[in-house]
This record gives sequence, structure tokens and C-alpha cells, in this order.
Amino acid sequence: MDNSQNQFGAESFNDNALPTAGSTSSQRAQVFGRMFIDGVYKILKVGSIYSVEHNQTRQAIEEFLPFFYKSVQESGEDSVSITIRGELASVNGETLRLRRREQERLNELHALFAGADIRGLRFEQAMTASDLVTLLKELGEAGRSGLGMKHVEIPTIAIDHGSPDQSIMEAVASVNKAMYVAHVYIRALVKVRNMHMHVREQRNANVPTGVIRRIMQTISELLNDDDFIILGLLPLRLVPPDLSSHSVNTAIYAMLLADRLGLSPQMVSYVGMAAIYQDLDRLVGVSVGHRDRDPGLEPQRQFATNLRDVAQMLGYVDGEVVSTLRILMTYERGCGFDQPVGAPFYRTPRQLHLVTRIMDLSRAYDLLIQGLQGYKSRRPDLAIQYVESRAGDVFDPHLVKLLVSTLGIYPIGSTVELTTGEQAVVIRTPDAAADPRRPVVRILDRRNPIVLDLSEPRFGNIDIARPVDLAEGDMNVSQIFLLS
Amino acid sequence: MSKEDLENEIEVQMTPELQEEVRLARRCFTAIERLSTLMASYPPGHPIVENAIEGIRQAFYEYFELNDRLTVQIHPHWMVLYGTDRVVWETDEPKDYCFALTRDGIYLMHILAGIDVIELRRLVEIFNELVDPREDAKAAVELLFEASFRYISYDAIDESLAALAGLDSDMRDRDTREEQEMISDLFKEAFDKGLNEQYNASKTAAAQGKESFEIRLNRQSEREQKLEMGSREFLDLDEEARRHLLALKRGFTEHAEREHRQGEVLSAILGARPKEHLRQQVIEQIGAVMGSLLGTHRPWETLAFVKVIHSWRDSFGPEVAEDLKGIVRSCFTTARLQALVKTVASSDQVSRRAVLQMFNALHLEEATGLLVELLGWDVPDDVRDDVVRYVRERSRYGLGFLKGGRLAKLSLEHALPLVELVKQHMPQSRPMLIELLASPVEPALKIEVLKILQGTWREATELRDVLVPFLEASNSELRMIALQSFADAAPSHVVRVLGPMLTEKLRQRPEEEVRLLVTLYVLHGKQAAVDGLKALIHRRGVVGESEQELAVVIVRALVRTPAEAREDIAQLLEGVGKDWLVPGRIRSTCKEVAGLLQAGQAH
Repeated sequence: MDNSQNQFGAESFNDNALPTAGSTSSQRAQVFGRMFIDGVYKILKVGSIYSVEHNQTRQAIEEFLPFFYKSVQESGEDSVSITIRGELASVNGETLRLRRREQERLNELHALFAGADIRGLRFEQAMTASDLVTLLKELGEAGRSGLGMKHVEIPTIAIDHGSPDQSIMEAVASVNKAMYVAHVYIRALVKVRNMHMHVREQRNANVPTGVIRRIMQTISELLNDDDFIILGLLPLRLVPPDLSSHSVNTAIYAMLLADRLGLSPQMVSYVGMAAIYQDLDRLVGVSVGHRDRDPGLEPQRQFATNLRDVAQMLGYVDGEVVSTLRILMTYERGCGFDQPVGAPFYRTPRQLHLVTRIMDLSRAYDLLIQGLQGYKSRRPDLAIQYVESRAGDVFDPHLVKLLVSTLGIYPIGSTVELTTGEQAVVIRTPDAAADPRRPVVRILDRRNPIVLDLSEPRFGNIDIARPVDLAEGDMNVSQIFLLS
Repeated sequence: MSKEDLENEIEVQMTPELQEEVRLARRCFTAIERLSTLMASYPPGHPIVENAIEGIRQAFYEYFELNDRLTVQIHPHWMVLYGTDRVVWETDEPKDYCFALTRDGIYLMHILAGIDVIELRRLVEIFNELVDPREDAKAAVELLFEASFRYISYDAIDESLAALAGLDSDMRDRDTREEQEMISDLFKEAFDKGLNEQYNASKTAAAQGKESFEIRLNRQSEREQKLEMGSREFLDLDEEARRHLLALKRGFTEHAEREHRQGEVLSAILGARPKEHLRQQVIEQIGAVMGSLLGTHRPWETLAFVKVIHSWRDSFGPEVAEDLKGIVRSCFTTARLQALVKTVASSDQVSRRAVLQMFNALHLEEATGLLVELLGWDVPDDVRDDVVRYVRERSRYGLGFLKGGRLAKLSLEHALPLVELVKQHMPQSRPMLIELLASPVEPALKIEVLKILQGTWREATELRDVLVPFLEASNSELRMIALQSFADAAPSHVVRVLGPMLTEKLRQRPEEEVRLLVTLYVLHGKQAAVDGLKALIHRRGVVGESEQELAVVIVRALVRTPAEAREDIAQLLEGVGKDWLVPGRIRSTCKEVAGLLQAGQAH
């Protein structure tokens, strides 16, 4: 085997072969990944041809180990993992970009994995030559017997069991939709929280938001498909309420309203991003309007303040739609929704932009749910009652109607007591044409969490008696809700 | 054969219909690949690109005759027709489209019957962006999502789905290890371990097809249809609320209510006379908004945006005007202008004229130049008429847009209206015509140019370097007009320049041209001309057929001898006519022409 250029197009294992600092992290990961997988391939291949005690095998292991230790040391990780699925291979989570010829080599490695019914290996930093020898022995044995490697225990090598041939579609079909939605939402919470921390540290709102944008796109598609599981997660307060969770929730409520208005999924995701950005701006000193609590200044002063804030944003916005929306939200802060906004803001009087109205309402609703900025935490049905009471006064009444008709009198995630005495969580709002007081609920019973669609005639004798607050520790509503 | 083997056998068995489907699907992707290459090499709207687009349209049309949906499963370096194991497209470095798609989690793509060339073109643009090493900012899913396709959809796994389905290797993971742990902890917290049983039950249900994760085969237009039916939009709101919200909704859908509003915001800051740094930021922002507007399907809204800013000009500082002009200039890059010219070439009349109106209002000289190049393409007549009208309008400000040899790239038919424009701008536009003469254009166009330039030749060097070479041009008509122009411009040099041309080679030229040459030679050459001609006419002894023919042609041409030279020429012809050693055909012609000349002289 030629050591100077291996099968995976990478350099051989010598001190100079590791990727240089000048290359990008992705390039480094690719080169490293190819080298690593080539090393593993070599050992396993040699081990499958010769006996594990054979000099060739020993030599392959001796060549590989120094490279492995150095790689682990330089990467700062405790281990290196390799996963194979179908024609893909990834090393430490980086999917390798293999050329066709390299791909053919990978197929041999794939065959070895398939023979032993494994799809991944993780090599710990403390791995020794004898551990590798053990692995090779067991791998060979598993290939011959066809019994897999589930019985094998090597302290420094973790084995991911299972076929490396599961198809994407099979794998996707096995995923529970509610769990997926919950994962997306939790991921949004975590990513936005980290982004907020980053902005706070750097004092700069100009941070990469590509991943958040992708999540917002996913959520906009969920809403577009009438999938409202996510709405039920918002009142559940899966994380301690703070600005980042408020930001994500506001974005989702705003996207919901935008979707109900019939805007395209693209524009819906822009609205979500505008909410996210508004809080990033807030973290660097740009004020965010709070229409319910803040009556606004007299026009000239409000104009001057808003203009100053917009000027502050100009260093890091660009000309795309989301930037335009966030600028408009800042510029129109404190302007009335019930009459056109004229001088000094606009030369031609214009109606307050819809994005400003949507954001005012979404923010207020979530503050009420989460109990932030001086509000006490409310049940969704009480939050709905509150915004309804302020409709026409501080919120656009028509938009409030839209919110109420979308979320229902008992919004998704509300906990209620039925006339049967059972407690339940609302998991779906009734159709627009149906009775808004009869949503779909799931009984809060761990052993028998049945679903009742109260709009169905057969449940005509069951009504919602009253909304209830569940005491701490009573029941994890999220767990019941997410079964839906 | 076992049952399993039999099933496998059946699975790969291809019916003739399926084979045809695979063949046509391959054709579709071959056409896509071809267009992708062409779009990287030619400007938007170029006829070659347009032909390739037509090729794609045709390929998909034929496919959709068989099936109303083309679904492909995407692998790292190839695609297979969904439901078969047949590869319909293989891709490799440097344009490994499949890898770019799979890397971002896309594993299925559906192209549905009804797709138009606009969406196909955009799809190819996206493919090109994905493999362009300069553009690595946007991921495949984001580009496809933003494109808002009506007839293309896709299935993709994201980090959440990958984590839950155990597909970590199928896409790049953009979460840090800490984030993954945090997500995992929160997720476990949300799902109580005691509920595992129910979860597993739901998983089993999913495996049995009861799960809602299914391949997305419905199309965007179907969803929009749902909207139009009012099942979702505004739900059960009353009429007044609907009207109110519909009016406000325009704030999202119309540039006038979004970017133009932003124009007012930015103008308000400029109106507050900001310091230079802030002023520059505002100007840059204006440029960014303009750039963004130019990328929309209503690029002419940019003009309205500029007008909004213009309406605030009374409150701006004096330095702002130059800044704004500068940003407008830099905003209309060549690439953007090419895209706009493509709009002119291929869109409806309203869009076309709106773009032209914007060009005109913003005085975009480069755009006019590109439009002139557009005239060289095969565009519909109404487009050509509009463009020519526009170019005429712009010619009021000069003809700078014709520089760079643009006229030379046009055929005679397409160039004539512009040559006419140049004519109207004579004598200022004369250098442009001289430049055109030096270009490799068709002779007919040069003839037109020489006609316009007649009577304007003054400079000796210009005559020598530009005009005289045309006397030896390959086209007779061109030589004749050059001959006439030269004789008019420099009569004293006629004998010196034309003399060497009176050789045996003359017989290869048409009679009419020889006649003109001889006439001019005689007119301006006098005795020297007579001497020169004698050698060609007075051929004695055995004279070849072609030489006789030439002599005859020259003699016939002498019928038009000007009055002042008639006597000398008549004498020459008489002398030749009487020489018995001269072939009879030449002699008789000389006699005849001499007689005519004498008769003319007597009159």
C-alpha cells in the first residue's frame, strides 16, 4: 500500500500531514476525516486479510496510533468517532466529501461494518494497541459468525451497533412528529439563548443567524401545514423564562399571525426573524416598544428617539426584507395604530405597518404567558382575555380578533377541567366553523392519556367546566401534551 | 429461488414504460446540466441560454407526458428515479450538485407537472450557486426555501430530525457539542421516562404508516388554492376586519409599503444632517435596499425608491447629491444590468417598458450599451422596436453607448437604425464611423458607412490608412464606393494610386467597376492615363481570350470618357483600331468607341 497518497486522497500519517492552520475549519475537518478513515480502513482491511498477530497488522497499528494520539490532542476532543451509513461516512460528525474512487474504497469498509452489524466506532484517547487488536479479533469473529458485536466490551472503543444500511426514508418515518416538533422548538430556544449570550459578550448585534433562520423556516412550514403542536409547547415554559425564550415565543406567535394572514412561508419566516433580530438590537441598546405599558412620547421626541435608534442599527443591517422590517419596527415605535402616521415620520401619511402591530401583540401575549417584564404569569385563556380587554385601546382590534380566532378561547396548551371531573390539556383548537369552546383535549392521566375531540357529537355531554392552574409537581403537562 | 430473491428480482424488473421514464428523466437532468454550464458562460437572456432553457422545457414536457411528477432520491454523487434503482444523474467535482444537496440534508426532490421555465431557470441558478466556491454562505435548503417554488418541493432532514432518526452522518451538524448536550437534556426533561412505553407505541404506529411524517408530494399551488378558498385566511373574521387586514397586508407584499417606507426612514436621517460616518452608512443602506429591490421580480421599483429619497432632497446637505449619484452608479453593476436587460428581452411589455423607463430616468449609460448588444440577438420585433426607440431617446445625450465596438457586433439589418442615428450626429460621430470601418463587419455595413462619409474625407493619413485599403477590398460594391470617395477626396493622387491597379488582374473585376475605374483614371489622369491604358489595349500578335476580354472591357469603359480627355482617347482608340496586328475583336471595339467619342465631341 502506498503510504505517500492513500486511498482517500489524504496524506499519510506523518507529523506534517495533519491539516494546517491556514485552511478553514471545514477543510481541516475534511482532510482529517479522510486521513482518519483511511487509517481505520487500512487496519481493518489488513486485519481481515492477515491474522491479527501478523506482522503486517502490527505494523499498520503502529503506524496509525501516533497519528491518532496527535489528532486527539490537537482537536481538543476526548475521542474520534467514525460513522457509516449507506454510502456516507462521517468523522466526528463531519460528513466526508469523497470522490468516486474513494467512495469505492469506503464501500469495502462498509462491507466490513455490515458483516459485523455495526455502524460506528468511537475511539477514546486512552485507546491502546491491544484494544485495537481486540477490536480486530472481534470484528473478524463477528464477520464469520454473523452474530454481531453486541457482546463485545472494549473500554476505550465504543461500538454503535446496527446495520449501516438503514435508508433515510425508513429512519425518518420512525420519528415521532411531536417529538420532532419539540426538538425543533428546544433547539430554537438553545440556539437563541446562546446567540444572546454571544451578543451580550461582544456588544455587537451583527452575529451569524443562518441556523436560526433555518429553524424559523421549518417552523413556518409547520404552521403552513396547519401543524400547531408547536403552539402547545410555548405556554409549557420548557426553559426558565427569559429574554431569549421570549424572543423565540414572540417569533412563533408573530409567524402564526403572519401565516393566518395568508403571507407566504418565506415572508412568515422573515417576520419570525424580525422578532429575533429585534431582541438582538435590544441587547445592544435599541429600545423595543412596549405598547401595553408604554404610552409613547410626544411625536417630535418620539421621532428623535426612534431616529437615533435606527441610526444605531445602520452599522449592521443590510437591504434585505428582514432588515427593512426591523428598521420599520424601530422607526414606528410609539406611533398610534388608529390613525395614519404622518410628519415628522413620513411625508405622506401611512398606516402603521402591519409588522409593528403584529409584534406589539405577539410580544404582549408572550409576556403575559411567561410572566416577564412585570407581568405575572397567566394561563393562556387568561392571557387571551387580557389582550381582548386591551383591543382597540393599545392593540389593533382586528388583529386581536385574528389571534383569538386562531388560538381559540382555550389556546393549545391550556389546562382545563372537564364536567366529568377530569383534568385535560388542550391539544388542538376547533375548526374555524366549529364551536370555539369545544377543542380537542388529552386527558391528563399518565396511564390512559386518551384524546377527546369535544366537537364530536359523541362527546356532546362533556363540556369544559373551567380552566385550571396546575400546581407545581402535579403533572408534567408537557409530557402528556407531547404524546399527541 | 427463494421468495426473497424472487421479490428482489421483481423489484428491479423494469417495464418498458418505466424504462422510458428513466430515459426521459436522464434527458431532463442532462438538459439541466447543459444549461448550468451555459449560464456560467453567457450573460442572462443570451439566445444560446434561451435555447438551452427551451431544451429543458421540452425535456420536462416530454417527461410529464408519461408521469405528472418527477421524484428523485438524492445520494452523495448521484440521483435515482424514486421507486427504482436507476441512476438518472451522476455528478462529480467540480460541480457535484448531488453532494451539495445531500450535505444540507436534502434527500428527495420533486418536480411537478406544470413547472415553467422561470422555475427551471431559478433551479439551475441555485444549483450553480451551490457549487460555486465563491458562494458558500447559503445552504441548499435555504436557497430552495427562499426561491418559493410552486412546482418544486423537497424533503430534507435538519439537525433535529437527524438526531431523532439517527442520521447524524447525513448532513453537516451546525450545533456545538455543548448545544447538543443542552438540547438533549431539555428534551429528556420534556419527555418523562415513564412515558417511554407510550412513545414506543407511537413509534410503532409510525412504522405502520400512521405517522404524519410522509413524503411531501403536495405542491405549493395546492396550498395556495386552499388559501384562495378561504379555509385559513383570516378565519372567521367579519368583513370590516378582513378589509382592514387585507389593506395592511400590502405592507408586506408591496415594495411601496416596505422598501419605500424605508426610503423615507433613511431620508429622514439624511435630512437631519448627520455626521459623515452616519451619512455614509445611510448611503450604503440606500445602496443595499436598491440592490435588494433590483433582485426582485419588480426591479423597476428601484426607481420609485429613488424618487422617494429624491422627494426629501430639500432637507439634505449639499454633499448628499453626489453621494447618491455615486451609490446609484455602484449599485447598477454589470451583472445586475445584464439581468435587467434579460428582463427587457424576455418579459412582457409593461415590465420591459418599466425597466427602460428606469434606465432612462437614472441615465444609465452602460445599460444602453448592453441594450445595443441585445439588438444583435434574436429578439421579438416588439422588443426590438422598444429598444431602438429607447436608444434613439438616449442618443439625445450622446452616442457614448456605442463605443467599444458595439455597432460592429451587429448585423447590417440590426445595425442600420443605429447607423442612421450616428449619421444624424455627424460630424461629431465621424470617429465612430471610422472605427466601424476598421472593424470586421459585413461589407454591406461598410458600404453604408462609406456612403455617409462621402465628402468628409480630408486627412491624408486617414485616406491612406482607412480609405485606400478598401480599393483592394474583396467586395466590388465596396471597392466602387471607396473608389468614388477617394477620387472625390484626392483627385491629384488618382493616377498614382489607381495606376498600379490597371493590370491584368482587372479582368477579375466586374465590368461596371472597371468602367468606373477607367473613367476616373482617365478623368483625373489625362495624358498619363492615356499612356497607361495604351499598354492594356494595344495588344498585338497572339493575345489570350481573357486579355482580349479585358481590353474590350476597358475600351467599352472609355465610352464615358470625360470631354476634356476625349480627343486623346479617341486618337488612341483609332490608332489601335487601325493596327492589323491587334486582334479583330479589340480593333472593332476600338473603332466603334472611337466613333462614338468623336460623334460626342462633334455634338
